[in-house]
Amino acid sequence: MTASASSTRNALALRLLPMRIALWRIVQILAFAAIPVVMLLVNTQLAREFEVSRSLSLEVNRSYRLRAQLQAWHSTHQEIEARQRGFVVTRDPAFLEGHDEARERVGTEYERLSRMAERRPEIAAGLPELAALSQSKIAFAQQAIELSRSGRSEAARNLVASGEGRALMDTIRARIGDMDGVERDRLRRRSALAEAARIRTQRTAYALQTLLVLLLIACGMMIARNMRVRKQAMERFRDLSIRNEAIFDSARDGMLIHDSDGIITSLNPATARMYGYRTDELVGKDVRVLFDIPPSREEIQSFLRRLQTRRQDEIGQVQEFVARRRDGLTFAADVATSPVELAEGPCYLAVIRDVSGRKAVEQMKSDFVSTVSHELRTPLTSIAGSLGLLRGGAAGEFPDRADRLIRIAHDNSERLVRLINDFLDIEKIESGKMPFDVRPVPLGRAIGHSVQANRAFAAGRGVALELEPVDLAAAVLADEDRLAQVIDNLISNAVKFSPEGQVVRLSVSGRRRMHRISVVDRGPGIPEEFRERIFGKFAQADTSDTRQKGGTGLGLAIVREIVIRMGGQVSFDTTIGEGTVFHIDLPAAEPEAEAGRPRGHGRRATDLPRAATAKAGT
Amino acid sequence: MIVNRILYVDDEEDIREIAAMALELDPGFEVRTCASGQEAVRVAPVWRPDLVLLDIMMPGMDGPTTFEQLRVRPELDQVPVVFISARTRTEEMQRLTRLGAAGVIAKPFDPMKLAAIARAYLPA
Repeated sequence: MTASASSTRNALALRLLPMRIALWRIVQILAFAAIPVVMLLVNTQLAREFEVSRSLSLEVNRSYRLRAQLQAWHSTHQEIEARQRGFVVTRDPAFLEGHDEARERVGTEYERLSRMAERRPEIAAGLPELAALSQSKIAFAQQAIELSRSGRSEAARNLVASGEGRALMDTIRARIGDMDGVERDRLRRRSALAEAARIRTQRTAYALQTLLVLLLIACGMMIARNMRVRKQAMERFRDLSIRNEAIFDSARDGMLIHDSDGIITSLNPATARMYGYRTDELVGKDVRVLFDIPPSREEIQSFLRRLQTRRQDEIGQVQEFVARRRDGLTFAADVATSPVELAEGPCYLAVIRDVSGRKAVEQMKSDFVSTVSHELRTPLTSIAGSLGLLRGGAAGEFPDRADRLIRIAHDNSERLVRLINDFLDIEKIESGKMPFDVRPVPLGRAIGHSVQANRAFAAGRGVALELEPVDLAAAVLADEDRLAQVIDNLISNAVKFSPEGQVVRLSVSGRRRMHRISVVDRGPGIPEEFRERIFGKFAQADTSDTRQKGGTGLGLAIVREIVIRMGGQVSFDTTIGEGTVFHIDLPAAEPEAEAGRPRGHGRRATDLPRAATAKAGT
Repeated sequence: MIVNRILYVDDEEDIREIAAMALELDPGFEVRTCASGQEAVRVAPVWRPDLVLLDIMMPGMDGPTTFEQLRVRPELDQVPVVFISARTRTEEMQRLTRLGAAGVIAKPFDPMKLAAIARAYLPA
């Protein structure tokens, strides 16, 4: 998987992470909550089962009592019949002893049956018939007894033999039997239903218990997983911690973290060493103690605010400052600050580098350049000086040839001087050490001076200089000396490349918020192969033709650097055989009543784009 | 004809010679040279030049220090002192003029123009 694809996948996973965590948490909560719920359900099922058993046993009890009662009622009738038979056959009054009592019992028992049959519509429905049969039977028995008692034994026996009594008893027995059967069946059915319900309940209970066990296992697994995940996270955290600490601790640059109030929360050993403190001495301190001249709290706050709103690619810009050690010694330092979101809130990581070494090297280089320039210029002064005197006739007349030789030597010594000057200039500009005192400069005056200064030189080559009228109000923001240097250079080039008798024209035009200075010559034009390199260093060196013109090869490079540093542009148009025009565009300025007076915020190029300074410095 | 006295101070012998020759092209100049700041401080109060041309980078007592020493002498505090400097950019010139110098001449100078430049610094 390509780096970008896998990182996309990681980014997606990272974004979904909170959702996944939330989901998992919900699942866990549900699982754990389900346990008591399931246990409750199990309890409910058991209670239901118990209830079913209880009501069933009640039913059974009632059912048997009813059937017993039916049988008892039946027995009572049988007893009446037996007594009646016995008396009819033997005429023994002993058989009649319990007869009345039995008859009463029939009534009581019937009442009892009616009560019991209140919930038994099928039974209750048959009771009236039973009652009728009972009455008939008792009446029959009574009749037989009366007959016997009154001495009409024959008639009594005939009554009994008629079978009516027996038929009644049979019917009663049959009815009782039916009712008993109905009741028995009913009970059986009820039992079966109850049993089925009980089995269902039992099954449900088992199922719930199984579910409970599974839930417990699942919860157990979840707990185990959580513990494992936590352990992994701890390990990863520990690993990351160790890694970061290793980087933090072993870095050679100082690193510290401070909060949005500027209080240092942590720092690495390099910082402590750099500043001569112990690590614990700086924790909790305001970051301002690290500055020789501490910025105000407001400055720090606004700086941190700007950091927060800056785009990603601007994070970590380098700033120079002077640091102060514990013992009061100061050193030059670079710091790059970037915001970092930590658990405790918005914090800032500052990476500090002691650049006194680099500064020392830069200083050495500067000193070297100064020394060299002095050392080179001193003998050159003597050479150019003596040759100048000779050429000027201060030592008398010379033969032609000597004259020519002296002229050659003098010209070249002057060229050397210009070369050294140009070298030093361009070194200064490129290392950002050339000061640009930018103020409004009236163009008319600036160009006029340059034209004036170069008129003699131009005249010496038979070239005229013309300046088209310049609006008095036209002014640019520039360093006056540098501007003069630039215009001088362009005029000098134009003159050198103009054939004798020609004119070099200067003019000013306005374009939007810039002014354009144009220098036009009627020279041969710039050949195709040069145009790309014309602003490069020693671009002329290739053609011996141009070397004769006496240029150093650095002139246009210097012009370009200066114009750019002043916020402008340089460009040219050329036509072979017709001439060349160079344009300098510079930012327009409000002209001052008294030109050259500072406006109160004359910029210095060293204040401008820090990136440029920082870049040049590294 | 008024003769103006010009004192030229520089540690380089060749340059002193050239400067003297260049200045003497003007018939109204009497030129004297000194090889060091110390010598200049000794000579100037006695010889009373009308103009002092002072090299900046000299071993021992450098230009600015020599200048201070000269200024201390009451008989010299009106005499214009012009520095000769290999560095003639704006900030250098500003720094030197702030010291009280009458002006700065760039080195290497055009010997044929030196006399005229010197005359320009003399009071009219």
